[in-house]
Amino acid sequence: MRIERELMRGAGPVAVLKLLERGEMYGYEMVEALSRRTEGVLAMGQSTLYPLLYNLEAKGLIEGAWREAGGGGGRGGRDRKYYRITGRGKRRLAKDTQEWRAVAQAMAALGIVGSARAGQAVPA
Amino acid sequence: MTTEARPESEARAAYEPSLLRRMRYTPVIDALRGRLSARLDPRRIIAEAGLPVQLADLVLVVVRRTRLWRSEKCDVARELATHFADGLAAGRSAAELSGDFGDARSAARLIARGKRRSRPWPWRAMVRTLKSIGVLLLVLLMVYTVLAARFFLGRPNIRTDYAALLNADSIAVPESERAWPVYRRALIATEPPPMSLFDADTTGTWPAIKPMDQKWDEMVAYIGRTQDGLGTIRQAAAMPKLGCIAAGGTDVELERALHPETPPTSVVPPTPPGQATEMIALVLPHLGQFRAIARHLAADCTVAQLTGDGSRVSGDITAMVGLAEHSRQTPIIIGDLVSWAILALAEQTLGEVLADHPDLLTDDQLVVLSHRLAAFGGGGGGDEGFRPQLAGERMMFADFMQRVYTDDGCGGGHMTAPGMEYLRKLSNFDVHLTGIQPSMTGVEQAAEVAIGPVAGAAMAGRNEMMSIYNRALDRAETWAGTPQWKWDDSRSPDQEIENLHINGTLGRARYWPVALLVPALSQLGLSAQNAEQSRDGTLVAIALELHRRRHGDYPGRLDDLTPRLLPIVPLDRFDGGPIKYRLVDGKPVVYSIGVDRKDDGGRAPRGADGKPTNYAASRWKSRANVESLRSQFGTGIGIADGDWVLWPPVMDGK
Repeated sequence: MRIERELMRGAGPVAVLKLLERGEMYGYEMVEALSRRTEGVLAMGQSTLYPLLYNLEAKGLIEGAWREAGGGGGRGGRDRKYYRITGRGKRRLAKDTQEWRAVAQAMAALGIVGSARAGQAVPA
Repeated sequence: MTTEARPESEARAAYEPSLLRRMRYTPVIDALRGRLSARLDPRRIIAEAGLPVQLADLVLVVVRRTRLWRSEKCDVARELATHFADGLAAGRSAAELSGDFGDARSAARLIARGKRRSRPWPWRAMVRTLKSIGVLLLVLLMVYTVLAARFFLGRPNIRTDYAALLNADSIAVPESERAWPVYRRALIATEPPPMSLFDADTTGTWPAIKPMDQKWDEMVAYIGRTQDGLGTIRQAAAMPKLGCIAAGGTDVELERALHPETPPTSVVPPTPPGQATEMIALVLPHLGQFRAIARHLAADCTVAQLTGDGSRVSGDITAMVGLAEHSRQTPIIIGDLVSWAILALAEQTLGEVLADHPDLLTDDQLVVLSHRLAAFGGGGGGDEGFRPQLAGERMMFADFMQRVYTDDGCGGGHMTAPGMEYLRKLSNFDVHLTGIQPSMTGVEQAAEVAIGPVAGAAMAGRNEMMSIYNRALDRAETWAGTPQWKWDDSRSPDQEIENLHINGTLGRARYWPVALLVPALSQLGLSAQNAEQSRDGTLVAIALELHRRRHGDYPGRLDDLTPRLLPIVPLDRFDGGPIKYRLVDGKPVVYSIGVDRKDDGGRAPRGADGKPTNYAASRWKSRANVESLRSQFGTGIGIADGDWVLWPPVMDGK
């Protein structure tokens, strides 16, 4: 399911930060993880991912570093740029996570998410 | 890029750059080491990734479109190429990866935006600054365009013929009753004084040549030759109305008669028919000639005294007063100044007669002269003859405004290109009169054209300009009407000009026409008050002489002259008290305490050479200023020590 661009604009950054919370990743790895773990909902192409990564990098929320193949952790024998979350990024992730939770709760209260099913009346 | 010989789907991009390309994409440091590494070439990076042509071209297109720095392009190329390589390694096809990429154009734009945000802050600050400057320049250009359209498209609208208004009273005088044509005939018919009489190398110069001077005989001979002309002058001076119509254009016939040996060098052409004459270009021939005529009369007076011809002396002095009154009939400042100067010459001449030949004039002649002086300028007595007339100046400025500003119908308007040109010419008055302009280079002309709209916009609007000018003149009128001893420097016309900030750099930019045309208003007030004081001193001198004749001696006090010989004792304009009077060796001295505010018993100040400097005592300084100078520098510094002697006449420097 493809989601609206505006929703992706809000969800994309926090999704990437969340992915990097566990450890550093490279671009293709992130694309695959996002698609797999969200069952394709947050699947994004390179034309979306890399601008997003560069913006997060410009804001100091993530840091990128090239790792040469065969040394320093590079996987698969190819130079890759690995991204990791910064301290500022972690704080931002925590804040965004709170906000998303609040939104999710609000949506659940309206019956849009959570236990609400199609056709079920929205509680007054 | 070229491809190897493989199936198209598997064709890989190869990298075979030219020497020029290598050089272009090699960092300087590598080049200095002798290696053409082409490290900054994105094609090399893409080729090294070994991607299929389809994906390599996609990466290349995106990288090119970003228009980033070379190092940034290389970074992006590496990253995208690595991503596609990972995808291929994961078993996905080039077509699939290409399809999932997204729109290359928007990707390039978004990637570039993101990368630029990572650039160092000085660069970002510089870009923001340049953008701001660009926006500012654009705004300025738009504003300038509007100003330029307003400036170059605006046109003045000459609605009022102010010259006609100024001349209205003269035009109303029947031609047979106009004195100016009579004066003019006399001037054309009368030989002007020989230049030798003006020679300052010998003692005495025209008209103050005395019997002991070398040029006396020459002067007497000249006076003898010009009696007919003087007679005509006296007739003209006795006519009530001058009737001189100020016009544009030089009176060439008159100029040639006055200067037979040197033709006129700057001839103002006459105003074309149907056009309103510029006030500022009006020619007032009578004012230039009246002072010369007055000097001629004064010289005749000197000769007549020695022959004991009291009627001629009385006639000459009366004619001088008549000249002074005619001068004031053109209501402009220069008319007033010429009038008072002629009146001062008449008073000085009369004073010399009273001092040197006290019995020459009859009682009736003295009484007539006294009444004439008392009623000077107004007909009803008092100080009307000593109030500056600024109506002409106001009309002149209004005329000027209508020639340089647009007219919105409500008195408002803005500066125009023709107006600015007019202002520029006026700043160089000879150019304005003759029309001969100094040449400007092309650069100067272009600069003037470019600056014009901005300078025009900086100038005050028409309403404001008129208001400022009239305020300054209103203050001058109030100042001149205030008794001199009550003058407060903080309310002087000069201070008003200061308060209006006309003379500073910004003030001149905003009020250039006013700064150019506003007259010396404080000096005008002083000239008026001094002229009135001199007149008052002369009235007292006449009254003293009449008293001597009737009683055999001079009075002990001036109050003794009132009311029969003097209506009231005039005031000393420096302290507001009665004018001062003393008998020194039995001879009367009439005086004002002068600028130092000390009664020195009628002693005129002396210069460093010991000669009298009576004029210095009449130069106004406020009491506060005098006291300040005294406390700062002690007595004597900048303040004439002595009294302003009104009678008997004191010749400065003699």
